[in-house]
Amino acid sequence: MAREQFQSLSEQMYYILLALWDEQCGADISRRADELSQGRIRIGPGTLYTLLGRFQEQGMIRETESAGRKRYYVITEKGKGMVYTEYTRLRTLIRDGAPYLEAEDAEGQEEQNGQRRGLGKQDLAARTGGLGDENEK
Amino acid sequence: MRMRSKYVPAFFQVFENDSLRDYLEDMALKGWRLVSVGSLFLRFEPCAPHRIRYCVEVMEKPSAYASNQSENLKAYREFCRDAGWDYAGSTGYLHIFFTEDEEAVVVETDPKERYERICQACQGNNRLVYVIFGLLILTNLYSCYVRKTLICVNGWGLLLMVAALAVSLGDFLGWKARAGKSLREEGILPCAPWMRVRRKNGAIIWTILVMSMAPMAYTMGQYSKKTLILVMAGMWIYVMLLAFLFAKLLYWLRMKRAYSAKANMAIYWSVALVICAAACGGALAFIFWIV
Repeated sequence: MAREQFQSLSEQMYYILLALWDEQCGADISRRADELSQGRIRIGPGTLYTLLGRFQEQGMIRETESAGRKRYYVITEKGKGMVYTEYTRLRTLIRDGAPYLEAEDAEGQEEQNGQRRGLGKQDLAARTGGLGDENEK
Repeated sequence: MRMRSKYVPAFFQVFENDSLRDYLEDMALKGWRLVSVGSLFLRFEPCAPHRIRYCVEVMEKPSAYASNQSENLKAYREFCRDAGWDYAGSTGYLHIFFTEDEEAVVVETDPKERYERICQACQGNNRLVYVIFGLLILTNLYSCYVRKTLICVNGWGLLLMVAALAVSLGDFLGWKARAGKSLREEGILPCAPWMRVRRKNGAIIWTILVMSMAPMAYTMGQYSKKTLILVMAGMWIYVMLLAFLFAKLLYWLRMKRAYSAKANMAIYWSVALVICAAACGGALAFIFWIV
């Protein structure tokens, strides 16, 4: 069950583990994950607490210090291994999909550029009362 | 002159936690702030109308007997407090947090995890509904057997009560199907308008309360009107007192003690059995005295 749970990491899990590459305490982990994902991933305190507990149980992170109510965590070698596995998996997906998706992406870009050029000519024609093309010639 | 406190029954099921959140936020905008959460009622006090954000969540490994004073839950609440969320209290499986900070991230941000916890909590609740169903159907079948009929007149009351329970169960199954679809397609959980939820749950609870008295009323029909009224009133008072006592006992175990969930369950059901036995004895003595 635990192996299945962490075989592929969710985005929140991934960013929490990245945030713990350096020692962090509870509230700072959410902030760091927010910075790393450029505001895209926001982790609530309840979700963070639950995931930290599970990561600790699985040996993916360890508690380094407990200062009053604040607890500090850092990722372990096992945790780094899991993040690296996920990173490799994502790179493989990108590499395998690149021939198809980047080609389509390039076509889409060309179409957009073509449309912009066409629009540009129309805009010019509208401004010059149809003399734009003649002027260009 | 405005009342000092307002007590509102907590007519929200576990999977209606987001509707409860919306209700609490609307109350704050109307000038009522949640100050405490009881087992059956929410207590509000007047305040200046303003925005208060709430989160209503189900804990991991939900249990109706889990103590609020356990180390795990205390640590969870402190974690949330550090992130700006104060704890208002709990009712059943639901734990209520609040903040006035607009920037605070909501307590639980994993909708799939929320969905799984709600399903676990509801399945725990539904076992009790199945037991009640089974008992009601058995008693009705027994009545039919004794009277040698296919259906008893007092069975109508039971049937309506069973229908109310079925609606409650069907509600959860409907939510589960919608939530599964919503998670797959949009990554969020569905949320029904709180007013509709309160009205629907209120209707179910009143149906169960009234119809639970119907079979008794029919059975006692052979006695005089005065006897019937006395017995019915006596039974109502007994049932309400019992419900109040059970609710208080569970509240005390969860809020004031730090025993494990299993220990709480054992204490609760042992005391409940003793109280029920005493109540049944008292009720029988009362009926014999009246009759």
